[in-house]
Amino acid sequence: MSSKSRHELSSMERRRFVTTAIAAGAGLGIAGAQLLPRHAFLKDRRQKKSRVAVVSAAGYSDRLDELVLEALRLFRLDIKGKSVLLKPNLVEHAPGSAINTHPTVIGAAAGAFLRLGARGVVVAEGPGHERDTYLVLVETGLEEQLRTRKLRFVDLNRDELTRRRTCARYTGLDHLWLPQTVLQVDFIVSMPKVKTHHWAGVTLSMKNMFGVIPGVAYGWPKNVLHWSGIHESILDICSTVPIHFVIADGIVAMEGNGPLNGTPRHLGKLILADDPVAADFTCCRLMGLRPDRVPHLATAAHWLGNGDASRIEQLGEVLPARVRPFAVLPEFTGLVDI
Amino acid sequence: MGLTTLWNRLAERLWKERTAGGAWGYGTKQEATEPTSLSLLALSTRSTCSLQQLRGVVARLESWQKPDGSWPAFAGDDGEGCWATALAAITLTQLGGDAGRCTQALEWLLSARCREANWFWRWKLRAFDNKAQFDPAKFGWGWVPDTVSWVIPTAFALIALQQLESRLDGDRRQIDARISLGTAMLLDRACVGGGWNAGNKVVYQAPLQPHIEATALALLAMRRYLGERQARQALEWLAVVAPSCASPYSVGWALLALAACRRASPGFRDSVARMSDQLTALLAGARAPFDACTLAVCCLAFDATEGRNVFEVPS
Repeated sequence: MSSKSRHELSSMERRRFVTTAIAAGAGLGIAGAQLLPRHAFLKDRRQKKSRVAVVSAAGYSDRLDELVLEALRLFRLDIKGKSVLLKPNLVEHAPGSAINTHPTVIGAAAGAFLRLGARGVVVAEGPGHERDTYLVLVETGLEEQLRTRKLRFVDLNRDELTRRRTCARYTGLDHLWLPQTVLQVDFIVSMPKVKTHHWAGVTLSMKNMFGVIPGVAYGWPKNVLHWSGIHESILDICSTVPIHFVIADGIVAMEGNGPLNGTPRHLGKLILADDPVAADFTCCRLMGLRPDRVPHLATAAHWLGNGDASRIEQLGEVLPARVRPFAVLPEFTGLVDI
Repeated sequence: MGLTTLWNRLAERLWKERTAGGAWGYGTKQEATEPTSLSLLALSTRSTCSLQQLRGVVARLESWQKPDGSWPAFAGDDGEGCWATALAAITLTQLGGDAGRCTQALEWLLSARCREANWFWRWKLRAFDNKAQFDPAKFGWGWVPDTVSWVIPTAFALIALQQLESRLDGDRRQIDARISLGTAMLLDRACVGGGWNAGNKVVYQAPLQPHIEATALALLAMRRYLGERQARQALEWLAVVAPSCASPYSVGWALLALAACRRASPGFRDSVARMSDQLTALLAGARAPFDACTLAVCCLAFDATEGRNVFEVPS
């Protein structure tokens, strides 16, 4: 073999070696990326320290106006001149139940934000089952509250829609159709009812954001997202639509077969927070449930907000040392903090 | 105020609700198939608007149709077609739209399959995802493709297929089988105490409550099956609940259903008259919202009391 052909051979081998090495490296990289949790690729949005206030409230009365205002003042929020959107949890009305965020709490929150200098407050929701949103407003008593306080309501199931890229892609959906009203406001307040949930374990400030998903595009219920995974959908929604603040209605909460057929449970608390993950972790602790065992909360605590008690500053009352755990369905007994 | 005067006022208001583009949205400038279809149906029943005026909107509705024959929920949605296809097909047929487009839409409806159509999903729904109680072998239509069936999209699809089946050239038995299967799904999903909701009758052994709109639409779709226990129970529930309902939209749908069923069930004639008065009173109060869908459904409901029911299926 001539030296020239020897040189050609070694050059070919070198090329083959380099190609193989690049392919193997890329393959290992992809395999490695698959093994890493998704949050490893997401921007860490956690604050150094989140703030939560737990406030006792015996019932739903006019006194909530002052109570909510005082609690909000603890946070020293910069609300002046901002447009605020209150997103309550409205599903449907069943007499004697604790399904929906109580209208008095919504009214009190609206009043408080206006007194703190908000440019405007809009209440917005897209109920998941009942298509007649006005009927839900009337039956839950919210219509009267809106009328008395001269508040605007937007039906998020039927608002003008804009396509937005999902920021996390836990569902694999690369975009979501979202209501313009939600995208245009300065400050979004999630106002959940503190409840157990037969698919997700609990429904708190993060699960409450399912209501911003428009029924017109996704159906009643929002079936596309259910099929993409409830926990994954919650993470995708909350990564794409920021929750700036939480006011959770835990005055009369729901345990057992929530979110519709559970039993009312008097907890006597409002939970306010500047971080939805911290809010939901605190709510779970008040419910006697393990937040780290709720998949969307456990995942969110890695990057979206703070779950660790050491990174949550309690502004209001201290958390009770012992709580009687909320009743849960057999599938969720693992959540109960014994 | 007489019914004709009230109807004319509603129609006038509905006409003014149009977007700059000439069609209707859900109270925003984004045009959508449901409000446009309902509004066209409402305005076409009396001679308030000239046919020429409506033709332009019909053409606009036609322009949203996708190449596969389906319609999107709203203009600009470039994804797959959805539940609104059935409503668009009903509308185009009643307004003398392009016959070819209607046939294409019906063919899309016939070929649309929910997840339950696949044996794997039927098995999974029976073996694992079985906390919501229903028979996955009985399936109708979903809100969007690749999901499970729900009551309202199934009801709209059944109304469209039963009203327009003569336009289809396909195998008669195949069409009848699809209508029977969808009807069986509705019967299976009826709530325990009567009526329908979105489609979950029992979840974790707890019965869920019915909704007026879903019940009314299911009854309209099942007019040929009013002898069934579920239909009779639903009619009774609707006649009791709807007269105290505070929303004109739901009362309008209840009126459409009861008016369609009153010939088969004469006992509900009085209910129709009472509910018509109830709707008139609600519309006189200024509290209710007057979006295009509510206005259109109310116009259609009043028409139904006088025997012109656009959602009635031939018996």
